[in-house]
Amino acid sequence: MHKARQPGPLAGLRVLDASGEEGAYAGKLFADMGADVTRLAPSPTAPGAADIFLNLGKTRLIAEPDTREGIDLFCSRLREVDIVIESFRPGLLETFGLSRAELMRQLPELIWAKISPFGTEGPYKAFRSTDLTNMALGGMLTLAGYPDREPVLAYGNQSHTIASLYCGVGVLIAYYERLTSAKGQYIEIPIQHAVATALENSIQFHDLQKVVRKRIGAGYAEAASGLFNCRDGSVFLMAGRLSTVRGWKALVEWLIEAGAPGSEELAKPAWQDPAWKATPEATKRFETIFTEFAQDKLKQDLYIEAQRRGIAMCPVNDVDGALNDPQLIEREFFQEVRIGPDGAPMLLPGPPYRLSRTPASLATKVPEFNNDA
Amino acid sequence: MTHDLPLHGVRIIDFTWVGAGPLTTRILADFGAEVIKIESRSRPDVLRITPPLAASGVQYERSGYFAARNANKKSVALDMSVAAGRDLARRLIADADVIANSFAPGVMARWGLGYEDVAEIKPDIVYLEMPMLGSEGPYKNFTGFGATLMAVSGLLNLCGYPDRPPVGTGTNYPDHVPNPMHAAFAVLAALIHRRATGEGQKIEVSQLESTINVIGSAFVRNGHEEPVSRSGNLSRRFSPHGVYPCEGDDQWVAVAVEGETQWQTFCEVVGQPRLTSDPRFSSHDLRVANAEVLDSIIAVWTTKSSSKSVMHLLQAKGIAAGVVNDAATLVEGDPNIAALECFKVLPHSEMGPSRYLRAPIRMSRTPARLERSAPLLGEHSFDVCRDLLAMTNEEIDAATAAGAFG
Repeated sequence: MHKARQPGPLAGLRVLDASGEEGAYAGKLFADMGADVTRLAPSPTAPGAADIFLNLGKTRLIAEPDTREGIDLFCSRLREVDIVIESFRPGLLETFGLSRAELMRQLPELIWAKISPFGTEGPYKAFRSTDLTNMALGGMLTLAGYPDREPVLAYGNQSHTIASLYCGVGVLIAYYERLTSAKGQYIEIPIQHAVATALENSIQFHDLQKVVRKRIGAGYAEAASGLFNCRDGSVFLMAGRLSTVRGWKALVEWLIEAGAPGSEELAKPAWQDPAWKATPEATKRFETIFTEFAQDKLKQDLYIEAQRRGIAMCPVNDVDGALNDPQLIEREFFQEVRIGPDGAPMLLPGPPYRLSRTPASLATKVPEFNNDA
Repeated sequence: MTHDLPLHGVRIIDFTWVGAGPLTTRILADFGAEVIKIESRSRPDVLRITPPLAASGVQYERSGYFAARNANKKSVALDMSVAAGRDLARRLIADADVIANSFAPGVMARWGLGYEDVAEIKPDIVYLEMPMLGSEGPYKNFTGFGATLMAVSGLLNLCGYPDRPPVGTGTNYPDHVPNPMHAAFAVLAALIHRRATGEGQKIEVSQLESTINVIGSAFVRNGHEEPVSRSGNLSRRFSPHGVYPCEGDDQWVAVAVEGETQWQTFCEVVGQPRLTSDPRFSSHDLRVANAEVLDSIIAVWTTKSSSKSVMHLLQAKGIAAGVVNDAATLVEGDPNIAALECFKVLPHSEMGPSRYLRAPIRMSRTPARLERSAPLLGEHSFDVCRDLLAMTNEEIDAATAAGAFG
């Protein structure tokens, strides 16, 4: 039995999502909060996992947005929505003799959000882009990888996710304001700028210390930070940084209690010194001691025992590991969804937040392609 | 903050600290919410002592890591272990719209500020909590950071080369965009619902569940697709698709070629037209299978030029290419970033002029403001008591004597 959805906090809000791959996640955010989202996009050749995850629960309009027919369909829907999200290439509307400003003049309450790789005015505005080049030009790619190899791209089109998230937040800010002013407005999310906000402390390191951060492998360059192998994979450990000084002490106690070879050495005063712990020598020595201790232990057992002792350690999960995580199972995070009456059950991640009164919930629609509605 | 900002009139009592929480309230502050950061002198936000540090400034007032996350906010220092401190917090909440925290489960309740307690003071409050693994569940009290979330969620394992241990993003990525922006989206949705109905509510953002959503498609089991695995810079859609060395020290260019027509154009630009008839590269699947050979051929060409010139050469032919920017080239060399005005330098009484990022959301009618650099610890304690709580100097002195401002 499929439980009826409770109305989400955005029930009644109408969204036209013509945002290609860049903004599909923004459309999903609205759909799972109860908004009525229509997705205008070409028919997916083979609806894969990404399409299901991002577009389930949106009403579909099949059209190529860069054809006359697609643009006509897009324009015909503008009157029926509160919000439009698009990622048309700059100048597309003009090629059909249309102007966004003019369309918005006719619809003063419309909130129109545009996701574009580089904004619409700068010198790169006409550049081609993909997730890889977005991450490169936005400054995030340089931070990932091993120093002896080329920088490596994060999994999962994160530049699109980042832009989508800012788009969702921007649109809701504009909508909140519209409740007072009764006026819409135009919002731009340049992906390059959005990615540049995801660089942790790189901008500040350059600004304040003239240090340029680059890729350093997994974890920090210091002992007890990063990946360590165990019997069935690896664990990730952070002991000694930020507020983890107690974690380091607890870790050394644990290793000594367990009689791990070499662990007595870690209790010596030298290891209290962060400068020593940051040396390659110390990093290597710790790794030797810890890996020998962990080699016959399962990552889940290490996780539980480390956490019992207040140490920030966890398993490095693959997808199946996360699907089987006891905390996520207990909280029923992954949800079984059937698409259509005869659909096989599928597991999907649930929404990223839980609202007590107007819950977010996975929007599911039979993916009927409805160009006449 | 001025009246034309879109969130003018929204007051947030902000107990968040460290990574994700403060970025949630920062974006709301940029659009006009009044964010009052509650801090503690005895247990300051750990970011206040976390590098990078300015050359000048007293302890707790030098960190760029902290400053970036806390611009546009006011700071009130309260000792929540003292009744007088808790009393002031309660009085501030009585007139607030949102209360936010990113503590471990149970901390707020111990101060008498759990959701039910706060709803008694302010029934329509929007109450945001951001526990790492959730407020309930067998692991709710586990400890960790953005980096451990990357590992538990499966994201870390998906990033890197197939022949090496996983490497992640080189950052505590969930802290910087996914978790704060999911939380901000939820707070705004709840505020919109409140406008319509007068109802407040509690929002729980499990930072793990939030993080999994940014790799959601990897979890969809629809029976048709291979499980995803770590594949370096290879792509299902683009080939070649990689990051190539250029002239100079550690300079790189990213290139993504889509389809056969672009592949032929690419070979011409590279000066290797014969590659188009090379059987090893005659389809996307073959180019992926033989990526190592192909990438080494491309690298011979890219190494002879600057990353910028490779980018412009390929872009001129309609092929996606981009220099691999770092913080220095972003700030000093990228003309598009300059045109977008991504950064603003603000004065800071201890750190001197410091560079802040603007919100990447450009609004035509109610644009964001970036006006005030990060507050000093407790900088606005007395102002807030006077302006928001209408306390007299005598009352403030009495609260001070009672140890409220710790």
